[in-house]
Amino acid sequence: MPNKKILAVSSPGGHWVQLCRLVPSFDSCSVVYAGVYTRPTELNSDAVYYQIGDVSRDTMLKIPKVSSTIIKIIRNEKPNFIITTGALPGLLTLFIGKLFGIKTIWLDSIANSESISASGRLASYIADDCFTQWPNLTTSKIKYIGRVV
Amino acid sequence: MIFITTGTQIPFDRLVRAVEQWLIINNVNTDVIAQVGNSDFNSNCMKVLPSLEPQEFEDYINSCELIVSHAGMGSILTALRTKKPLIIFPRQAKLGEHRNDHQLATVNSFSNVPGIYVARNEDELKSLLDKRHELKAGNLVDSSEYTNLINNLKGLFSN
Repeated sequence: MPNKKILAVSSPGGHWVQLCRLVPSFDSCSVVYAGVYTRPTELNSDAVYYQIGDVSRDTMLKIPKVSSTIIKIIRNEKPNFIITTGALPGLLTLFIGKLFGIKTIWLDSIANSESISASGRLASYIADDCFTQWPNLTTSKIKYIGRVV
Repeated sequence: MIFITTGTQIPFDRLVRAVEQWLIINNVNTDVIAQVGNSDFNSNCMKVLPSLEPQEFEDYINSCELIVSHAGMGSILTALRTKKPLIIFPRQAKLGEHRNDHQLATVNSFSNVPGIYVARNEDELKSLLDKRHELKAGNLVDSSEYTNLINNLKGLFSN
């Protein structure tokens, strides 16, 4: 049986650094990456990377364009799982992934130690699994399974 | 060299201005590189750059002796990974520096982590800079919580 495939997606900065910490958990699968801007330096030269463009609360008008890029990536790669550490572009990818019947995972940033991010709260209604990195923030939908440090 | 980084989103001039003041008042002769974002800030006593390509960022991180940054998780994890001492200075929502005050929460969570030095205001930042040669680097350890996270995710991906 061929390996299952993961699409790992995140915004730059802290979100991306946390996504990179998850790489050892991808061992049994093949993995392709998607980010907002140019290819990050952490990736090996043979890793597949897609640039999807940024969208934030201030640039909602970019949603259709970013969405169409995400749809192309999903059609092309046919991942079994989508995992993201945020932010809004990751949430959008989860949402579209759900429409394609893909299993989706949200890991809220460890920066959110006192409340779940707005995107994370939305993700808890969309994603198959939604995780916080702070045990005090768990709810019926948001679980704690460990943290990146 | 001291490397200041303010992240990829909103500018954070209060941080770079405080470092600039410290440089001027103490007549400090140290190379300072400041990544300031989409800001009008400029200075005669440091090299100011709006944004950096990932490789440039990595190069400055690797060649600096000290990182000074907003209290972003990217900076914290990067400093621990590259074993550089880090001073974090939180953005505050009431000053228009972020959407919310999660960076104040971050400094509380990381105030006891070796290698991470918290400056809650400009004075604390300046006194940490005064003793910059005493600041020690931390280390990114694979805690049991991290091992749990990886094993739990592996379990998810095997289904």
